[in-house]
Formats: sequence, C-alpha cells, structure tokens
Amino acid sequence: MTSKRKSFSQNIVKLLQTIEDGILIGLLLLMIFVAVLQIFLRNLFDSGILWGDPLVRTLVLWIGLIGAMVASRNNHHISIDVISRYLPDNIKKLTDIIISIFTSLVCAVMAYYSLVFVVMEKNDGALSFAAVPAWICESIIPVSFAIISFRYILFSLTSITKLFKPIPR
Amino acid sequence: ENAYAVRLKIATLSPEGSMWMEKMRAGADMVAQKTGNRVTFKFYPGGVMGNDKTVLKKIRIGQLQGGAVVGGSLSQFFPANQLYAQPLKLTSIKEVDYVRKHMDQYIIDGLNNAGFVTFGIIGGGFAYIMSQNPINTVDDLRNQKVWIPDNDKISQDSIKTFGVTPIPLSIADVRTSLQTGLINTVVTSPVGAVVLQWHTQIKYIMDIPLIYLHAVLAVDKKKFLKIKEQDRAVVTQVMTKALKQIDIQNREDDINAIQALKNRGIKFITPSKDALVEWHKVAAIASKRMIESGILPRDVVDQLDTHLSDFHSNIQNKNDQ
Amino acid sequence: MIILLIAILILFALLGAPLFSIIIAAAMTGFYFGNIDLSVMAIELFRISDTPILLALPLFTFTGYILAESNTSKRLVRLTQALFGWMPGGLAIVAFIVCALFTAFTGASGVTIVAMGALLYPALKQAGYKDKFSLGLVTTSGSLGLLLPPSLPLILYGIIAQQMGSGKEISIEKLFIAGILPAILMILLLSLWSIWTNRKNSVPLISFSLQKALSAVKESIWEIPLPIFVFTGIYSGIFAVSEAAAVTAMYVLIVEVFIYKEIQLSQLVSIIKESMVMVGGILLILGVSLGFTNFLIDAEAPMKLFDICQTYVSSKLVFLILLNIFLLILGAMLDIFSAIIIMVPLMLPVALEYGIDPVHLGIIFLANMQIGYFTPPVGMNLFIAGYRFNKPIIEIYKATIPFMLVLLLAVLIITYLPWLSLVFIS
Ligand code: NA
Ligand code: NA
Repeated sequence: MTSKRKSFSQNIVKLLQTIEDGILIGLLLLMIFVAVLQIFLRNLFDSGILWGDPLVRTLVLWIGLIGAMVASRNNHHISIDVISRYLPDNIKKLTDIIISIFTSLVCAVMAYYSLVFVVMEKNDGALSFAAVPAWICESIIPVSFAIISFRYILFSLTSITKLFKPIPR
Repeated sequence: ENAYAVRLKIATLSPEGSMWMEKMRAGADMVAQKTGNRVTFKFYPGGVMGNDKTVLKKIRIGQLQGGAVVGGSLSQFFPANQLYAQPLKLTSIKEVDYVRKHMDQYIIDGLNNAGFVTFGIIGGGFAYIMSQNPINTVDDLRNQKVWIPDNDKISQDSIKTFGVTPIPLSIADVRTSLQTGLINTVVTSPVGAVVLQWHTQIKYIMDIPLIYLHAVLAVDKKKFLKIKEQDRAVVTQVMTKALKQIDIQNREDDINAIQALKNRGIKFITPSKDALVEWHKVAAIASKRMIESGILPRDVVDQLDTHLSDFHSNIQNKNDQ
Repeated sequence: MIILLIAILILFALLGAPLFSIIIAAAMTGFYFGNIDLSVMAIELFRISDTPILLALPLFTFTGYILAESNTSKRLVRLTQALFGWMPGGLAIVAFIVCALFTAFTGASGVTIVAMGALLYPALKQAGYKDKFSLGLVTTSGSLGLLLPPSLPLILYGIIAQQMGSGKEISIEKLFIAGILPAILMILLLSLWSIWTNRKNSVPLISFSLQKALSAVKESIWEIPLPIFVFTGIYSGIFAVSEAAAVTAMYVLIVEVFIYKEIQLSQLVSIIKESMVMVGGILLILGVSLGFTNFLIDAEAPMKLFDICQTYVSSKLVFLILLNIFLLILGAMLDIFSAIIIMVPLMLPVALEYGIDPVHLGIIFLANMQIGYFTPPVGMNLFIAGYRFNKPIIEIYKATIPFMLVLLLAVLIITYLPWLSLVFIS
C-alpha cells in the first residue's frame, strides 16, 4: 500500500521533471531557431521579425531560471563551501539542514515579492514585444523561486528525517 | 526631523558632469535652500538605475520618485505625448517654437492625468536620417539596414510605414553594429550622434528633419502631492526654470553638433523636389495611422495642423505688409 | 545588528549555502533597511532580458558542451601540436590569444570560461600540462581581452569620459588603439611565465612536419571554419555577436551530430540539459548580483568608499596606488558596467588634476577590473570556473594565484608606464 503510493508519487515527480527538462530543451532549440532565422531573413531577404530579438532575450531569462530550477533538484548551485568539507559528519548534517532552510526562506521571500511585482504589472497592463503582456514574460520569476524554495524545504525535511532515523548498517 | 521633509530620488541617462546634470543639480540646490531642506533631490545619473522602462517600474514601486526620460518612454501612460513625433510634420525650429507655445500644455496635462508631474517639456531637437550610403528617396531608405531602438513601439510602427524593416537593437549595441555593418542607417539627433560617437561611423545625413524629439523630468504625482503646498509652488517654479534652461541650452548644443558633423566632412543631402513630395506623402500616411490606431486623438492633430497653418499665414501676412 | 547579520551571511556562505541565496539575502537586507520595496529584486533580475550580450551565454555554453563531449579537444591538440608544437608553450599561448579575442566581444560574463574552457582545459591536460596550471589558465583567460576592440566596457568608458567634457578628445578609436599594447603585454607576460613554469614539465617539443600538419588540418577540416565564422563573421558585420553565437551553435550541432557522428541524438538531450543547468546557475547569480549592485548604488556606497580613499591622496603616485587597490575591491562588488558609469565621473576630474591622461586612466581602470574578476575571495570567474569544472573553490584559488600575480605585475607596468598606452595616439 505505502510502496504503491510512493511509486505513484515518484512517477508524478518523474513526470514533472520530464516536463521541466522538456521545456528547458525546447526553449533552447526555439532560441537557436529564431536567432538563426533572423540572420537568414536579414541577409537574404532584407527583412526580419521585429519581435524576434526581444523574444530571444526574454528566452535567455526563462532558460536561465528554468535551468536554475533544474539545478536545485540536487542542490547543484554555485557555492563557496570552504568550511563544510572539514566539518565532522554530524555537525555537517546539522549545518546542511540550517542552510537548506535558509535558502528555502530566501527563495520564498523572493518568490513573494516577485509575485507582488508581477501582479502589479498585470494590473498596469504594460505590453512587451508583439502585444504579449509584460507580466507573462516576468511570471517566470515568482514561479521559479517558488519551486526552488519548495525543493530546498524538501531537502531540509529529508535531512531532518535522516537525522532522527539513522540508516541501519 | 521634519514631518514635511520629502526626498525625491531621480534617475537619468545623462552622465554626471553633463550640462543636464549641472542644471538639474543647480535647480535642486535652489529648491533645498528655498524650502529649508524640506524638499531635497537625490540624482542617479548615467543610467545606473537602468533604462527608461526599468526606471518607470522603479517609480511604480517607490524606489525612485522620478526620472528624466525621453517622450517615447511615457507613451504607455499617455500615447498622445508622441504628438511631435509625427514624421516630417514639423520642419523648422520656428514652426516648433510656435506650435510648442500652443501645444506643450496639452502634453503636460496629459502626463499629469496619467500620474506624472513634469515641469515642462524639454526639446531635444530634430532627429535626422544618418547613413553610410547617400539617401535621397524613400526607396533609398528601403534598401538600408535601419536601426530602431528596441523598446520604442511607436517609432517601430512609423518607420514601417516607410516600407522599412528596421533592426531593433539596444543603444549600447548601435555603435559596434554601425562599425561592423550590421546596420548602416540610424535616426537620431545631431547631439545624440556626437555624444554616442556614432558620427564617426556615418557619412551622410538627409537634410530634412524627420521627427521632433523631446524629454521630460517625470515625477511621481502621488509623491509630489505629499509636498506641502507652498513648497510645491517653489519646486515647480525653480525646476520649470532649470528645465527651461536645459531646453534653451539643448538648442545651442544642437547647432554646435550640426557644425561638428559638418566639420567631420559628413555630407548633408537635400532631397530633390520629387523625392520630397514622396517623403511627405508617406509621412502623411504615418500620421494617419497614428490617429487610426488611437495613439493620437484626431482633434488634437487637427489643432496642431491649424497652428501650423496659422504660423505660415502669419509669416505670409508679415511678408505682405 | 547589521554587523551581526553580515557575519551570519558570511558564515552561511562559508558553510556552503548557494551563493545566489547569500546575495539575495544581503541585497534584501540592505533594501529593507533602506525602506525600499523588495520587489526591486525582481525588477533588477528582469534586466537580464535587457542585456543583449547575455544571449551569447546559453548559445556559446551549449556549443562548448557539444565540443567538449565530442573529440574536438583531441583534434585541437593534434592540430596545435602539428602547427605550434615546435614552440615552447605552444598550446598555452594559443589558448591565451584565443580566449582574449573571444572575451573582447563576449565581455567577461563567464562565457569564455564555460565555452572555451570546456574545450581548452582537457586539451591542455592532454597536451601534457599539469591540472593546476590548466585550471588556472582557463580561469584567468575568462577576462583577458577586455582591453581589445570591440570590448563593450572600453566603448562605454569612452562615451562617459567624453561627456565629462575634460577638454581632451577621448575618442573610442583612441581607446581601442591604446588598449592594444597593454593587452599584448598581458598575453606576453602570461606566455613567458607559462613557458618558465613548465620548463621542467614534460610538454615535449615536436619539430614541424608539413605532412603531419596537413593530416591534422584534414582531420579537423569541419572545425577549422569555426573560429573564422566567429571572428570574421563579427568583425565583418555579417553577424551581430549574438547571431554569431547562434550560427556557431547550429553549425556545431550539425557537424558533431551528423558529420563526425560523435554525439548520438539521445546524448544531445542530456547535453542540452546539462549545459542549460550550467547557464541557469550562472545567470541566477548574475541576475541577483544586479540586485545587489543596485542596492550599493541606491546607498551610494561606491561614492562613499571613493571619498574615503580620496582623503588619503597627496600625490600622483599615491593616487595611482590607491586607484589600483580601490579598483580591485570594486571589481569584487560591482559589475563592470555599473562600475564604469559610477566611478569614471568621480575619478576622472581627480586624475586630470594629477596630470593623468584620460585615455590612460581608461586602460588602467579596465586592466584593474579585469583582475578583479578572479581575485580571491570573491571573483565571479572563480565561482564560474569552480562550477564548470566541478572543483572546490579553494583549488581554483590556488590555481589562479600565480596567474593573478603575473597580471598584477602587468597592471603595475601599465599604470606606471603611460607610454605603453599612449605611444600610438599622441
Ligand atoms: Na574579485
Ligand atoms: Na564583478
């Protein structure tokens, strides 16, 4: 029963991760395609898509933030990490939990204030390129930070359970 | 210390040490002195707060209370502030003076209703077509790689009327792109060309003014109304005077810049009569489209046209007498 | 209170908290005490999409990953051995020059390390250079080339300085010319040092053979057009920088997947994913750093720091020494564009008072900032290199310090020998 439920939730997680990967890969291919198309149009036909460049630049932000989301799946972010490698195991476990909670909190605050900003932009009705509302382009900011925050809270929960239930040898 | 103290944080693209900054700082000092430091300004020059779009967002969240921005940047709040940006509508600085005397207030009021106090319009001179190949006819322009600012929807629309597919780039990329040939034509003011050193990369200027540029010092109205009423009058009076000085100095700078361009050996091309007819024909279509798409109210454009013909009949009368 | 918060953040950073979270926390704390709506962080992060040059980051990173996964580095080694194997330090010198040219038009945003480093790091090791040396080389080269045309920071300096109206003409052309000898000096010193430090190392010299060279060229025939694409494409104006990046990505994709067939389509998916995770890690830091920079600007911190420095200035020499120190610190805190916009108007009048040529000041400024990118403890390129090559940051510190000292020597020469910058322009 529990194992079945677990495999179900694992499948969901896997599916979500596949979707995440798919979006990331799709956006990069789209970016290369639009950028190359622009060159062809410009050099061969003396024309071009007016919103091509702003689209591509918005894609940079999206790819960056979705890439950062994927990076946080296994805490693969740039860090300075000079002390922790010399800490004893038990203390390191504890500091890892503190760090995860800290990161999760920071991202949650960031997600909240980004959301406030996006809602404000939506109410103002500002437009981005090709009549796309600006808030849609900006919406990736709260979404990505919310997901990163969620992932770090999961890390800390997993670490806490590990702390109380040491793995039997 | 003072319950009424208000500090206005203002961003601008003009760098520290430029004429703009000197005049604005002088104005700010005067305001501080006359209001006993109840109203102070803090400036962020050189674009450190971001481009106009970013500055307006920061005004929205209250990090900044104002910014010196070009007219086009405020068109999302009040589109008709692009009244003077109708191509080839205003053709001489005398026309501009006459029309502005009557129409500036319309733009100032419009922006005020949209939430920005402006202390007057700062003229930026005419923008010209500057290019690496000679441009005489509309067709000549169509064959060029024309730059357009990447965040200026209205200019993009109006250049499309001329049958041009422009290349949108940010200002930072223009110079390198001119050098490498990615673009070979820009539309900008003589001062802009000299300051950004684009003038080293162009050879020809078509000697008819394309559009009239302007900028404003836009201050968040909500914040402005927090200033005590008598101080508000002081700020308005002093800053209007300071900006007027910038407006006047801009005109001199414009003349000097044109001279500098001529000194560099850049050729000023006057289109032939036939070509000029076609330029005006296409320009008229651009104006019409600005009306049809709801950017400019028809009656306001008509008003401007009336002032223009008044101006010309006045001249006619003077000449007849 | 504030000191306590700073101490906690530093402790968290050293304990291995993600750098981006430390930067966000620091910036938000600052904004909070400055009574500024924290939404400003999102506004600043969004400025990533206002920065056209950043498009080069994902595209060149992707290209670099594909080249790293195929056998390109082996072919590159064979080719450079065949062409420059007779020359001591051949590949190292080639690496310096290529990285410098690459950085000249991508800026020092980390693209060089991620894209070129992926290729050069294994190649250097295959050619017999030590791991530590190779690591130091690619990290250092990530900002080499800021003084070469058409470097955007150089252009920006010219525009700002010109508008200050110092009386002297500061054309961008002059700056471009002034930067060339100092840039060559840097590459030269680094090359000499590379040869010297590898003198006992077993990088064997190979005498030149036309036959070997031809066969190496034939083997790499599909990859040789790449640098030609990138460099001539941009300098001739067929492509913008971002477009060159896109064309290169497309070209490499086709060549490695369909012509050399060294990468399977299934492999491609994981390459794209991995490379974009790398891009995400870097862009996130760049984006939140914009927020932190904005906090410093809002609080006018750089100006205050400069005022303090200025109170100690008594002569030209002291000014130059303080300038060097100050700019190194600044390079650790601000992005290069903000640093130029804020500091040049403050420094230029002082520099003029001491008789320093504005063009020379520009070269000094950028030469210092260039080192700031990889001076421990905080230099963006150190973090990027550690991330890209999966090495502890301490190891990167150790690997780059000798290179940093060599470049510091170059900066001192550039600073105190104005002739080097000004000889061709007066
Ligand atoms: Na540093
Ligand atoms: Na930096």
